[in-house]
Amino acid sequence: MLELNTPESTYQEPDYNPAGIRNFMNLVRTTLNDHGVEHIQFNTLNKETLVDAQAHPEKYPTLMVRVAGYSVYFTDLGRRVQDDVISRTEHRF
Amino acid sequence: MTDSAVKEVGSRLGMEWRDGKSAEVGSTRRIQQLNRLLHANRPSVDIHRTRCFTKVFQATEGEPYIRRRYKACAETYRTLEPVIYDHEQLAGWQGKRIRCEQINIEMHADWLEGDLDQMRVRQFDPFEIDDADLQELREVHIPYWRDKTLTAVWAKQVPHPVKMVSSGIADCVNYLGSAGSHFIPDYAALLSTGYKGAYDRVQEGLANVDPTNPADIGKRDFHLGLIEVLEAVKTLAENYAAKARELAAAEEHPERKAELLEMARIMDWVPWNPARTFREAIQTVWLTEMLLSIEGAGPSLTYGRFDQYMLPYYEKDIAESRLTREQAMELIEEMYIKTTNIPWFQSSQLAYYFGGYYRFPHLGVGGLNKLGRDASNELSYLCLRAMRHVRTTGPTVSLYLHQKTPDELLLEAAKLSVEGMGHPSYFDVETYSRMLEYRGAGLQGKSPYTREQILELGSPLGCVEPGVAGLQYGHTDSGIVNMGAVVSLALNNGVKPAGLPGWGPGEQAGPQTGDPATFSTYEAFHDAVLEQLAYAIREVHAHMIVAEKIIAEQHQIPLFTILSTGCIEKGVDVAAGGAYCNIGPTIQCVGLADMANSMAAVKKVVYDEGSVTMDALRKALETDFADDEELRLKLRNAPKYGNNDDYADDIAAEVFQYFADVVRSLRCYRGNYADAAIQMVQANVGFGEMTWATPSGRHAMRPLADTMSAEQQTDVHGPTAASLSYGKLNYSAFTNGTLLNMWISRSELAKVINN
Repeated sequence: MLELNTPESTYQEPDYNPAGIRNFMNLVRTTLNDHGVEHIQFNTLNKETLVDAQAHPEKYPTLMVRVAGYSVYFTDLGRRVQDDVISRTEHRF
Repeated sequence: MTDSAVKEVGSRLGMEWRDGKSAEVGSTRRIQQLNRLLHANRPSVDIHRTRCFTKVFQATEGEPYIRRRYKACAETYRTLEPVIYDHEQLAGWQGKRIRCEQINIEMHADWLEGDLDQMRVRQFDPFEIDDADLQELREVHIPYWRDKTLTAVWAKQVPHPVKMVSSGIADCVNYLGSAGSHFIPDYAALLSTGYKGAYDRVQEGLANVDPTNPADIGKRDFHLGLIEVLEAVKTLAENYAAKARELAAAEEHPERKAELLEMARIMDWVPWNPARTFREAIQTVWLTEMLLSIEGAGPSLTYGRFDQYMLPYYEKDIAESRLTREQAMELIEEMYIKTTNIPWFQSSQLAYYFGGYYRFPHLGVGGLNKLGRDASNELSYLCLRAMRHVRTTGPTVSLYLHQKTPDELLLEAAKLSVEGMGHPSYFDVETYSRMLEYRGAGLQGKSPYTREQILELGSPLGCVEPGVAGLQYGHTDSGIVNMGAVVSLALNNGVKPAGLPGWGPGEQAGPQTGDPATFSTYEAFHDAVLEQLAYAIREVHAHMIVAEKIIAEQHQIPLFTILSTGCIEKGVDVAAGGAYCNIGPTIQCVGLADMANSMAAVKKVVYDEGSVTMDALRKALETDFADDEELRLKLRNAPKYGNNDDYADDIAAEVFQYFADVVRSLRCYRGNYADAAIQMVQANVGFGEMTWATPSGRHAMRPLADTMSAEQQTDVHGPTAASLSYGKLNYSAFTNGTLLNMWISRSELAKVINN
């Protein structure tokens, strides 16, 4: 990986699940390079987070989701659009 | 479904909560401060452009449209107020404040009047506006422009204007409000010559105009207009340099003073001259993106292959120790912040569905070079990494994936995915390249693009639409056909079900394809659906090509023209067909899964099993399954697209292909053929509200399936099965792109929540 020296940064790397990351990379490769699908994008939150964000939006001002083709703050979405995002299928490997 | 405890927030409250500490993220303190600035400022409206347009148009009544448009644009740039905030390294704001939108009055005046009062307080995407500006808009600009907008002029020329913006079956409302959009400039060319290079070519073109040649009529206006626009861009940069010097003179901190003087030195040189350093190059790119956002009303002004055209400047600076990786990433983060600052100005009605001000900028990395070798480099990693630090909604960052793309770069992208922001998008290089080979070329033809052009300059633009930098122009987000509503029409002999909102409930909206009770075979039902589909496609196309003609004649866009390869040499504005490859208006569909699942359910339950009659099905649908939950569950349990089950997937693949074939047989105003797409962001919600119950077992007015994804909660066999289903569609036929959403649970990817 590219090593960068960013002592002032606010970024903290999460504790990755290496097997899950490997599955994810394989899914992307297969869907695109093998099956020839043009494009794929992902939401990678837990559903409970979104449900909680609807109930307590003030706790999640910077929570972002992928609607379709773009990312947006969850709070900024209309209720019907939020419901639609939540209603999608949350896949597990 | 609605839980009263759930609070509807909207961007107005959301912004208040994001103000302050929570927004201070980024790789350096400078970026953290700039990010805070982004969030501390409410989007606002600047009427500078509007004022310039009204002034020029009123002074030039009766003169050729192209002359008036170019003059108005030049006036806008020449007199744009230079604004520089603390901490900034890159110069350029599109308005007098941060997050400011320059209203394209000639696009929006017709709806603006009704929305003006609530503009500041509306729940979704409110805009601040000064009282004096509001009054001036109401008294001066709206009265002058309201019957001159694209929508207003178009409505007088087409047979069914109201149906085409509100029927929920097929519409083009988004297209009518956003001319000047969907474009990737050839940044490599611009960086190598600066705007001065274009200026020299325009002067040469002017010298070659032959006033005795009928083909050259109007070309003098074209060239003189572009000269004025280019000189205005030069003046704008000079104004910025002067402003930076003025601020430097008053600055007490020596470090900031030096930064401002450096900014002034850079603006003295670019964007007029060729860039010499990474810093000069990124400044040219940003200023151009900003200017295009002022000139055009529409979305998807795309950076394209940033890691390719910026690489020579990056490598040279690194080799000569003028720049560190971290400094390069800081500049990229600043560009992301500024990009996110360009809001999209829409009506209250559209803002509900497209909330978040997002204007679909797009930047991608990876892919192949023109020799077909892996093109990834250190900048590819920096662009992805920058987003992990800066966490902005824009631009859409993408990875162009090929079998040759190193796993290490895919891992870098995957780590960005884990952040949960929805970044990045992933694209298959070979598939979008194949789409480009057939783009705009109809069912038999090939596009003018060579493989080399595609590999070197090709990339998605907007969300997913294949484009080629500098070589392609056209609106890629134009007409939309609702496949769910089409199924309803086939079940109602072409009549839009009563009880739905918008144009024409109970009206004959499509052809009379027969009483479904008379469909003795699945094929008869199937044929009725396809006939309704073809009719909806043709009807919206017929309305859009009229708009395309009006755009060509009255909505010229000089900077897009300057940045399009060959337009200056041809002497033709890019909106009038000057591009190397013209595309659009395009037609996309929403509700693919709803149509496929509906047809599969009818085939299974009515014709294969014979457990219910077509008439009984129609009656159950009429009442939205009020008395027949049992039938609804039976339909729900029929095969569904997205589970690697050929029963449903074959139907999806067939209607997908049929849709593309009908679209691609249609000729457009600028000579190209239409292209098919399935990409329309959250149109599934709005169009769902205008769609009655469907035989897929979906209730009336519920959302349709999003884009080309499986229907919500029906893809029950895991991501691999879903991926196999998606692999059965013929992507080469969808020459304007396909958008696929998938949700992978966070707990699969990381052990702790990092927010």
